[in-house]
Amino acid sequence: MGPDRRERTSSFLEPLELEDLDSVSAEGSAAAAEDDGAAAEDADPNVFDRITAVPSEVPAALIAATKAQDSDPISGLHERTEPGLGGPNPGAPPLEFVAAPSAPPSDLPPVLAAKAETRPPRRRTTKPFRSPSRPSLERAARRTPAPQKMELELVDVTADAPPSPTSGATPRDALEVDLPTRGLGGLVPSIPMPPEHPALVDMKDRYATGDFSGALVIAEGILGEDPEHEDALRCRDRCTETLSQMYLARLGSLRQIIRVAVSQDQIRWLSLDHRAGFLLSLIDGTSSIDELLDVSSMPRLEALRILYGLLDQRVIELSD
Amino acid sequence: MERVIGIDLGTTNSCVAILEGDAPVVITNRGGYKTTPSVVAVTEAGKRLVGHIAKRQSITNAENTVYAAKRLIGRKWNSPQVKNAIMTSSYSIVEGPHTDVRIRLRDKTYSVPEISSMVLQEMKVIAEDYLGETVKKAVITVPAYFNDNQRQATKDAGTIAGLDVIRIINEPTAAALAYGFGKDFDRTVAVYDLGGGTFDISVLEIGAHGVFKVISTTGDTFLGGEDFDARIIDWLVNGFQKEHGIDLRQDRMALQRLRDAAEKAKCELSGMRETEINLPFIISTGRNEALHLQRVLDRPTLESLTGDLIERTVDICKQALADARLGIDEIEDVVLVGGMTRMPAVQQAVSGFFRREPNKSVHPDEVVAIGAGIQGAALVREKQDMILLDVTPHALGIMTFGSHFEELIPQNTTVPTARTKTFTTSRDDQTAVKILVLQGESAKADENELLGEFILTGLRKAKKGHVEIEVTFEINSDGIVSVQAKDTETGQAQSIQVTASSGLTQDEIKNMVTNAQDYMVERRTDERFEGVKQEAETLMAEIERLFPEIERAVGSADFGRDALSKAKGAVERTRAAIQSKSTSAVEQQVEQLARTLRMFKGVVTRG
Repeated sequence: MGPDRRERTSSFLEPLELEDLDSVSAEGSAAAAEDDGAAAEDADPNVFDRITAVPSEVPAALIAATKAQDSDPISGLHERTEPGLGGPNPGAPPLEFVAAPSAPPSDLPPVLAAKAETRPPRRRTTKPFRSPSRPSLERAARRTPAPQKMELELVDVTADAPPSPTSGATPRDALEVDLPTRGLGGLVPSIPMPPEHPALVDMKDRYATGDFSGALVIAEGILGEDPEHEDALRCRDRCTETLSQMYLARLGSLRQIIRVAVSQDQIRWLSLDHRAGFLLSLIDGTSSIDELLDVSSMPRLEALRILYGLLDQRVIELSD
Repeated sequence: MERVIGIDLGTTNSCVAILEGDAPVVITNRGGYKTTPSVVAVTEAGKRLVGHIAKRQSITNAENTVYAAKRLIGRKWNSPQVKNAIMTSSYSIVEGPHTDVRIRLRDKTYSVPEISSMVLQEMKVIAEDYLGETVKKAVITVPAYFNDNQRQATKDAGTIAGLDVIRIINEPTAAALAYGFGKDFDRTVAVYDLGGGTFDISVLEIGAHGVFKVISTTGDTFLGGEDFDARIIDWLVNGFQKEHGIDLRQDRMALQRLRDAAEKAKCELSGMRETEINLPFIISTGRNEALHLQRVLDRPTLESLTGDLIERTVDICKQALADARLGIDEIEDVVLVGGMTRMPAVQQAVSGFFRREPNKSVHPDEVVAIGAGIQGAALVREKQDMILLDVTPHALGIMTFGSHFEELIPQNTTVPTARTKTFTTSRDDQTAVKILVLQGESAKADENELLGEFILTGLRKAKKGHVEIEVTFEINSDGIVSVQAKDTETGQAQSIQVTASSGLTQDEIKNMVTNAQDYMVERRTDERFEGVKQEAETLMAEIERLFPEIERAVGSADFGRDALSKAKGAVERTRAAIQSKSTSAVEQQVEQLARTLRMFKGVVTRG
């Protein structure tokens, strides 16, 4: 034990008083509580927009644009007016549309149609590369089906009718869209648009024909208007998962290390957009794909799409 | 002898060191860095990120990334520091069940010690990976101004991380320990610590035989390297806006890149006269044109941008000397701590103020962790060749009439200790007094930290000033404070034992320990699975590459077809095992695949 000192208080010291101490304490606490409340109300940390892959068009415009794009007479996918033929069912579009070796232009999602093709790095361009096109991968996947993953696309939509939403859980990796087979009247009543709205039919058709990107764009457009729309939510999730798997199959193991394959001087002459530029800036030569996906904070599908595009353009390379 | 690691748990970066033989070693993390950002994040997928990886996404995932948790640890919800943090932090700070502070990430709420424990756990893993053995004991450093609650919260964080925190020591003391390691001298030193987020200046006396005493400590908890980065970012953003009319602050991805580039440029300018900041495709315009940012920053520009920040540290140094009642000439050496002290302008300012060249014998990023490592080794060593005395970090006393603070145990008093003072009643016939036990240096009671309170009743009725109450403060060697109030005439007494609290109950800590252990088990399992999966994938790729050659080599022979079929089956089973995430199943398949590959290679070689 250390030194034990006893001191006598000086005469000026105020004596203790119970009541006064209490009142001081109570006042202090009340003031502090008030301040806290005000501070909590003032705090608004969210000053930035969220990064998203969803095109900025309003759903109506988007849907219209989608329809305008789909003028391809071969597919005729969006010409249908007959109700009750939505989704993969016995009356659905024939399989040859899915398996066609060269996908028609209508396969492209409207917002990315102009930028669908991927090119090797080239010198100065006025228009940037808008991240790798989704449909290009889907088409490429059809041309050279990879083991396991590609069977997702080559499913025969006429072979098995998908289970109805009430028929129980569908396996996560099943391709079939979990939408009603007959008509749209049985769809969730919360949809603000008419049940037989062409956008819904279009979404399901695109999904059924393996145009997951197109279906995703339409699903997100619908969700922009009705965030609770069950079919659109389901379709969005399935498309996102399927497309992610496709990109993953192309990229390979997520533990591969990513390196930039072009010199720093050449980078600025590439045709990239700022998202691809951002991802490129995160590549330090030691991080894996998995780490990069975490660090980017981008929606996973968008990050995978960009990475695939960069790999396709030979801007990056992967190694074990 | 059991290993003890020393951890510098910093506001922005943490560092871990250990004494190997007689040499202190700073342990590098997996990325090869000696410091790890004290940043924790949760991704959209619910994955926990700690360190560099968390820092690299701190702007693009700002709401779910916690930085500078140290500013909040052990603080009460209604403290001014917490209010300030609520206003300035990008993550959500909410009130805890015990008027403590909690942080919301995604859909879960975490206590601050829990967040700090994630950083400590990372440091523990780094040390274990290096040593190849489990580490249990640790010494953790805290700022000298931390009160008992903050120290206890730091200790709790260590416990949650699975560490037995055998000592909490002051950062300047640790720095002085590393500085004086192996030397035997009496010296008064100033420790100038300009880190990533905070600035501290402490004056210490280093006595012969390793006695270290903090004489004064002061600082600014919102002044550090990040402020220097912010000035560079402003310079870049303003220049870009002038040129293109676009505010880069509005785009998170651009801002993240700017921050990384600013920090890099700042570091480079400590060794170079100028550096180029090159950020291609920083933003896309409305016309879909990608714009690049390219500027050259030179040292004079950086110094003009940050001169006032450096000046602020000098003003605080003046205050520290005034608090220590020492003149500049009495400071015999200046120890530099923190990465920012590498900046030439900072070194010039320090040498200008203290009128001597600062000591550069210790690494500014590592010195605190090294000191903690040295202390850790000393604590478990049988031969005690160094005494590091525990002192009270703040004065202890009670509140008296008029909301005044009456000090009983002064700051920096060596523990164990006991002090007694006598007080009187303030009113006639007063029969009770309330004793509020406080900690701090302010003369106003409400500006100090309330540690506990109790009421002494049954006082004899008498005129005011006639009843004498003896108040005794006692701190034992474990830092537990006991306060007793006694009516000297009647002997009526009442006491309280004050144990510092982090704001967490023992049950909560227990749960958090279990959760942290579960997380570690899961993490190690995932790492093992990923390792074996990668091995399997490499083997499968190699086998599949050889399939055509094998088919050609074996032709139509039955045994060949059978071997091929078996190989394909093994590949399929491996894929299924990977899909089911079964480590043991994949391990089994790896053996089979390895055999298959050996056989294939043999066939190809013979063919």
